[in-house]
Amino acid sequence: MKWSRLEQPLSTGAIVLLVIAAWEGGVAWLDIPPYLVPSLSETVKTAIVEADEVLIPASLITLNEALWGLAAATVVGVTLGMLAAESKTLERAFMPYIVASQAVPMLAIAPLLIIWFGFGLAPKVIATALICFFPIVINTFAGMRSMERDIGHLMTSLQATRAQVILKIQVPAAVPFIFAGFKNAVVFAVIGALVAEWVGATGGLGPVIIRALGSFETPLVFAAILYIVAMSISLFVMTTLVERSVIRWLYGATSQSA
Amino acid sequence: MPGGRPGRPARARLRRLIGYWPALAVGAGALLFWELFGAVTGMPRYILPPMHEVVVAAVVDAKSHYIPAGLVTLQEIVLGFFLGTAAGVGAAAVLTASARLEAAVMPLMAGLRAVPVLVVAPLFVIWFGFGLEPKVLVAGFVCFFPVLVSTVVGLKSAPENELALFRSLMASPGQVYLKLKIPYAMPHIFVGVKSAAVLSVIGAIVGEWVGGGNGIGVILIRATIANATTSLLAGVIYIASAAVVLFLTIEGLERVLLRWYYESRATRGDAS
Repeated sequence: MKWSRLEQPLSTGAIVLLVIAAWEGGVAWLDIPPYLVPSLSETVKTAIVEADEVLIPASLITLNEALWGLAAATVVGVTLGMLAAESKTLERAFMPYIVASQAVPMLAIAPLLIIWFGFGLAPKVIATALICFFPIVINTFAGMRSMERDIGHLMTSLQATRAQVILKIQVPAAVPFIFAGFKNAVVFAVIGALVAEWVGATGGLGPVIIRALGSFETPLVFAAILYIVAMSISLFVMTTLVERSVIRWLYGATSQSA
Repeated sequence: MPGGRPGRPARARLRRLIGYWPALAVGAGALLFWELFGAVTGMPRYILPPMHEVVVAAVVDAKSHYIPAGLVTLQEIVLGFFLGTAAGVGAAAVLTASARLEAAVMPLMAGLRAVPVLVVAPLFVIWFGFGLEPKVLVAGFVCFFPVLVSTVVGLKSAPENELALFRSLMASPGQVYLKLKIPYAMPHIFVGVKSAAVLSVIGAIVGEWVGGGNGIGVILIRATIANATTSLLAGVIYIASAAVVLFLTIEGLERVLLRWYYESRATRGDAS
């Protein structure tokens, strides 16, 4: 049993090592110039050398934009999802557009945000929020509606008020759904901020990459990618940890979270 | 969501449509807001030109601007979409052949997915130049992951007892795939393919932002720099319609190909 638990991370680790070896070895073997494909060691070296001066300050700017966007998307998405679940009229007024918005490439309106809100923080936050909004609102809506019919009947027969049903049954039932949506959103948050930076910004990782590309400093591009992936993954892992403890607190230690 | 049952009388359908008046009200309100925004607030035109001007620009400049550029972008979208979808399905078929391989590689794929398109695009430009290839590859790259993930999930979704039945009837591996695993995978695959459709549009646009060329993406960037909001919005309309048409086409295809699936679900009730 212990071995089977270890097997998956071990084999993933083996494949990662294989990829790293192929990358490092291939670049050296084929004598690929670093401006085309920098070796892993070159990338890591750049990631460390440029950390204090360039990469960490820029990452903090991008992270700040991503987090504000995520927060805005969560507040608006959860509120709207709950309202739409509660009111048929609101559901019919907004849900068709929210679903339809999925068929529209949101990134295409990033330039518009720059025209409207300038080159500061606002367009980045809005771009991030627009990208993160959908999974949160859809999951909140589904979660609030996930109450089993029998429990609804039980609450009616116990003469529970609407507020009690919402607070005691529907909201706790929706929490796992909201987390699922949030985990989907988290992956896109850094990307959203980056997109808006790409179209118009002075600070952040976006401009760093643009400049590095312009001067063919590909190792710096790779190092910046490393920071971006690290940020996305740590946001995801942190969300998973918070999710686990919140769900344990809500449902008790005995039940297993999905 | 209210599910439409087949054979419902037309009057009931009309009544259901009327039930969606709030959506129509919101849509009409938004369009009215757009049209009157400049006139009411007195904001400069470049902030939000009235709707009719954008529509006029989209129509008048269609032949000289948007259609030639749109065809360039459409080519990138379609090629990238097919490339990414085929690669995603193929990779999923290989990965699910071995549970161990799948368990080892899928976390890696999740990590790769976190690499933003915008960052991959410039690398493709460095590697493949400023022509058609990098844009197709960017569009294909973003399509790949949702299709891969949903196909992997789908290929594993055949119920255990049906698999056991196939085994006990000595079905060949080919038969298990053709008659059991692939039919069960189809609804899942379509979920991935539908998000791939929208993503392929994004991928092509991002590829053009980074690699230039003659497509709609370049029109958008030029319009942004020049504060030419009318032409920016007209470009967005073309992009959005391309994405919607692609999405609806796939949904239509899904409806035709998977009619058996949704009908069997309707009779079984809404058990997942």
